[in-house]
Amino acid sequence: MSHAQQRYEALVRAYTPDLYRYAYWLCHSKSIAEDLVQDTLLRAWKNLSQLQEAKAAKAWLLTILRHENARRFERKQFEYSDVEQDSLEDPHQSPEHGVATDRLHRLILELPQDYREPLVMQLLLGMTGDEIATVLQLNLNTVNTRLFRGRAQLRARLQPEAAGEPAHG
Amino acid sequence: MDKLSLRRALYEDPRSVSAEALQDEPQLQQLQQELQALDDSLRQQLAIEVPPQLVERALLNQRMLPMQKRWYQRPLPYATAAALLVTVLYWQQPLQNRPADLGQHALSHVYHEMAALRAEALLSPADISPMFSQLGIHADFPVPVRYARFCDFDGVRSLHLVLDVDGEAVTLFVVPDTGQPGLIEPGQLKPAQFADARFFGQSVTKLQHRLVLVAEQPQLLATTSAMLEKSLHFNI
Repeated sequence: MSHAQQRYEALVRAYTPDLYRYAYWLCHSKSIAEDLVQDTLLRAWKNLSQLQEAKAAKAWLLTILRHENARRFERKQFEYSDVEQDSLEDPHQSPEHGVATDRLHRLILELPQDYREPLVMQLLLGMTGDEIATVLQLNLNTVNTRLFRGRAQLRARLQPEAAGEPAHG
Repeated sequence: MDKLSLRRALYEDPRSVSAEALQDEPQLQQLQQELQALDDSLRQQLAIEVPPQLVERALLNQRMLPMQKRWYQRPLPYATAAALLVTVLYWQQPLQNRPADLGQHALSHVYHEMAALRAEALLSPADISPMFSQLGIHADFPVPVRYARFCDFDGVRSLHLVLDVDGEAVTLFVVPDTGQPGLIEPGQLKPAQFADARFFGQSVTKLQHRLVLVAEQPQLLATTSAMLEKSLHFNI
């Protein structure tokens, strides 16, 4: 096995679960998240020589994934609508079915993406403010403001009595 | 750090503020506990289940990459592939003059439901037959079916299937002729071919239906088309 192949396999095994989860919270769809992960990893393989340091791998992969997600919207808008399936049971029911049942899950999905993304990076991926700022190409203050507002909105919606509490940010 | 700054820091990251910093602030201590509990709940929600075999599929895709690039170097289907490419070029000109065409729509539909190409569960004839019956067709496929559901194809309720032909995914759309002008012109009988950088496709008319095939390898279109001739029986 070549050195590049070894590096790639290590990368895939270490980061695929995090990439998939991040992709899901980015696009709200498990099937699209899976496609995004596959596209991201293939692009990473083609550009593996760009990755110089192991500690930069997570941010590098997230940046690729965000670009792949953006490319989705660049493709020609495809008009599509669901059609009635009659009484037949769909043999491949959407994987999204039954997922968004939990209130907190729904509240996270309803959070504006600007606030949700840094929260996912911080809580799920364990990234620091500086690392988040690098991937999102924002300054640290903006990242902190978005973290503040994201948490404040979630807390307010979970505890309406605390809604007016944070008056800064 | 003043009280307002501490509150802000807690909302930015509850773990970032030390217990000493909140020593004389019982309200902020309470807030820190609440926010840490919220973070714990959020972490649990964010860590959704990862599909099994996702890592293995990613590694497989990468290993298959050079093979996919060199499909045209395989020895057998030269004649079929060449003939199809010539036909694609022949048909490309009139298709380009239309703002949207059947091929473009079929390809967009396939890209829209890429997950269907990787569906692993195989459907039984009992799953498939009632769907075809609704379109006045009797189907008896000699190959496994990975995916089947009714879809919107240019506003027409159509059947979208993914067949497993020699281990490769071949998409089949069965589009009833509604008699309305659209991507499929009423009474259009000529076969059509289309392609993009990844997929090849063709469509043919059978009585009141248009059959649209899409596959990554052109030789699969010919194989599947021949198979459909024998396995689909049109009642209307």
